Amino acid sequence: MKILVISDLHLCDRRHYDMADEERLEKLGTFIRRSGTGAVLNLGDTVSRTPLLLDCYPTLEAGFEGYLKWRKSLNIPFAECAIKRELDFFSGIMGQEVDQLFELDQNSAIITLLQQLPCRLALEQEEFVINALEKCQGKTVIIGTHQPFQGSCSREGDVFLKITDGFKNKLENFPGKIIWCGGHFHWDKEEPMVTGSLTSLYPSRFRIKEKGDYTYTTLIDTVSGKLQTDFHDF
Amino acid sequence: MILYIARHGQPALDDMKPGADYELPDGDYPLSALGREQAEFLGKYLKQENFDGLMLSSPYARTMETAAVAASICGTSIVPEPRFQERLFAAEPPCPGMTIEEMRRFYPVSPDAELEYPWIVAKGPEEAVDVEKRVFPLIDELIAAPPAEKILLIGHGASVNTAMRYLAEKANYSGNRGIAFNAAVSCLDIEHDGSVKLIHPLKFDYMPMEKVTSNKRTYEEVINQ
Repeated sequence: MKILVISDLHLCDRRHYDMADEERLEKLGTFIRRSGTGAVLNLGDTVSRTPLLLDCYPTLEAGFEGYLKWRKSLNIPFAECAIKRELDFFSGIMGQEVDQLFELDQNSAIITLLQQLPCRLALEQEEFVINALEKCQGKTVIIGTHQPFQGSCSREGDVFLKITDGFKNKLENFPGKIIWCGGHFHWDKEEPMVTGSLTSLYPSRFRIKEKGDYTYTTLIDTVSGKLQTDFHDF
Repeated sequence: MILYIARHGQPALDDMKPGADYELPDGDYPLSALGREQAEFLGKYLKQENFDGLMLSSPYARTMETAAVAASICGTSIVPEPRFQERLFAAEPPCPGMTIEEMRRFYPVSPDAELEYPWIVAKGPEEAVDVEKRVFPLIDELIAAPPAEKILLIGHGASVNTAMRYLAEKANYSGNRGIAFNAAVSCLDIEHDGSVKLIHPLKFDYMPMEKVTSNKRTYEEVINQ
């Protein structure tokens, strides 16, 4: 299965003054259909924070309506990795749990984790991941967190998710491929880092024109393990 | 006893709510990338000073992480010290704070260390005198029975300045005590008879000027205020 990772759509954001959300989502949808994507992992920050919202979207909920409509139109499984302010929406509308395991097929599973504590993974979440991995023996498991874990990028950033060395060692020595995807930062593309069974990457971002950046996504083939990065003009 | 007193490195403030007071973070923020760099400069400075003693840190993430970075350079461990925590300005504590078990997962906390929980015990906004009521006995205790020959106390603007004021009085020092920039450190020599001598006030000359901050504010912004 090909799983497309998207992150930081920042819908309804007043900084996207050069292209309407509808047009960006339509272009992304076209790419999803043409690329043979079987499921989508969204790493969160789907709708921007309230102070950044366009006047026509006074609330987060209003902003999510367009996303939900778009998501339904694609008719493929989605795994959303909500950030805290988004969780009410995702759990209310789609029944998302705080931390969740999505078993997609015989080769693929996705684990999404909410950042519950300030910049660190809770012990219960580490245990959740280990239990979920045990259920997914033989599969390629993609872990999604909005914030990349500390040590997963070659550069320094302000907001990382701290994980313990012991937990990281368990992932690195796990008998199966684990791909940990983190979002949040709007910076140039990072090369994936591979340590043992664990590949960490920073797979996607969406352009905020004000920041002078660009859009890219990553497709993960869970059978071959191949990662495909695509750059987009939206 | 040689006593060092330092403020934490710059916290990660990017996710703070608009309009928040950056000098008084509204949550338990860890260090920013610059904050970790500042903590490294502090650690290297202490290493140069042959620091191999005890690190006592306020239990907040920004102080514990500063201590952890410095401890990894100096090869020491940390004991959380709640009396050196931030002054509470809000009606409610800004965060529940970490338990010692949680701290042990991320920081080199001494195996013997204990920490009562919750360690934020103030029931509302603290006055300066409330900080004194915590910090003065801590300093007195360290002077009376030093738990190590070299001690580093890592705290916040309020606790660091309160300790500096108290120790300066004891040292009969009326000069400039320095500004508590992020990762700035002072050094005092405390004799067995309790006499205090200031070796140097809060200083930060072991890091480049462009790295000097007081949370969000640059050196220039603080000086020109």
